[in-house]
Amino acid sequence: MFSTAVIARSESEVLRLATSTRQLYATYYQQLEGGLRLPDGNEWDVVREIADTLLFPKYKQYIRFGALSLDGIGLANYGPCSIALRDEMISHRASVFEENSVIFMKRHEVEASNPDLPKGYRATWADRAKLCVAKLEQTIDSTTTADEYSTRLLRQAASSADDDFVEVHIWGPISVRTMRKVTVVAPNELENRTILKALKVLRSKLAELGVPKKREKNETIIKALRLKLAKYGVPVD
Amino acid sequence: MHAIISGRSRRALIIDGDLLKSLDFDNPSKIVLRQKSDLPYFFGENSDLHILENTTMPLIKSELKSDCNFTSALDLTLISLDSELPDDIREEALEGLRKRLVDPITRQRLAKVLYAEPFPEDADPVGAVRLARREARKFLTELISLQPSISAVKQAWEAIPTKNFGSDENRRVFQQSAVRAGVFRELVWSPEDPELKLAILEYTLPRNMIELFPNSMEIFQVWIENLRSVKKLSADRKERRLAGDRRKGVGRDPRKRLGRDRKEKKLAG
Repeated sequence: MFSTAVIARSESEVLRLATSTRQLYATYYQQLEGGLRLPDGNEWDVVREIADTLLFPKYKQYIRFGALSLDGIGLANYGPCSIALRDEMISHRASVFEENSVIFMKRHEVEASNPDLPKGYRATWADRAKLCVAKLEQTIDSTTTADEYSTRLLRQAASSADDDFVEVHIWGPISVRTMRKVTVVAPNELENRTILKALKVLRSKLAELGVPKKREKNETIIKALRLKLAKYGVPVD
Repeated sequence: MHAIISGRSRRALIIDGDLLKSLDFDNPSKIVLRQKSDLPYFFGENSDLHILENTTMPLIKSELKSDCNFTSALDLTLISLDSELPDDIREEALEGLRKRLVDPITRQRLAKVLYAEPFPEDADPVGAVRLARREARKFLTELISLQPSISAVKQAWEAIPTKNFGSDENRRVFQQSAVRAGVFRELVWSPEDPELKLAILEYTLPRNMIELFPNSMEIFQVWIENLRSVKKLSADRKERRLAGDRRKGVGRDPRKRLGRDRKEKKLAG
């Protein structure tokens, strides 16, 4: 059982990544690549200070954030598509961190005046298993079954504040060649399953009443994605 | 209250004093309280972000809706133009596009982007029109008919010297602002009169673009001049080609040409 780095994105973003090598899509998507220029003013400091995090001095803009996963499912609170990345494409440029680094920094009071990061919470990609053992050894014993490992490593909560996971930091871009597998998780899966079941029955009736079917257009995009990614050997579940 | 919106992520981040909140397009009635720890994950590498300063919740909702509808419409248009995809998926995308085009704001925003670049070589607009119905068919047919103008406006843009912008980066920023403001679309549509063109552009231009590029109007003047040259060059080429064809006898009745050749041969002999 191997852990992989997984990033969560929207269907539209996966389509953009999956078609980045096609002139048709790249030509028009490029026109929208404006980047973010934060306005001056104290109110924006909360967004600005994350961008200057002490963990990545002067190279934060090159870092992509993911989560370590055993089943290929990432943090659904941030997007319904989980993209599992190919080890061979990231192992030389990825490292892992005990938990969400912003929460960690706050808890350990790591800040500009106290920039020293405590040792033992960060590892290279090759040593990720050691970091996971150090973090989770108290939660695993002889009664823990293999099926439970994935939820111990990545615990999805109803709210992102309660998610618990090993954070993956990937330096550099992600492209279609970096993807190993895409898994589309229904956005409501974490919510009440009974409501979901009822919604399935009511769905066609809701449409008749003039309420649009939920994420109707995304189904077309997912079909297109399956075909696009099949060319690169990336399955979409 | 401020907000950062991404149509591709289908969500908005709201900065309300010290509080961070989010609004999801698929669940607009639910405002979620967010933490700083969410920020590195919130938008991924999406760069279609736009900022609303000193705004209100109804405005955030309306802008998020507009961004999401536009992003969907663009994705569906590109899927419909993709000949690598089977007809049933392209038809489905066109049906989705048809519904989106009913909204005039979505239609306008889509046109601003599609009128800024001629179709790339791997696009299949003819196939898309064959599969399209009603509004989608009309929209694509018009887009196809305007391709010569779209190409001319793009060529004229590329002929503006970089020194007018100061740097390549500024040029890129100017181009993206011009696409969003609909400047490319206005140039494709506007009448031939250069004075009128300039007046239309001045009217189209958003105020922040003039603040960012005080020499915007000079850049437009160069652009319009280039456009005249490109069109003249294209007309000259067409004329030369027609003249060449006339000399070669292309397009004439081959029997008459044969008779004339025989006559010329007889005279020469």
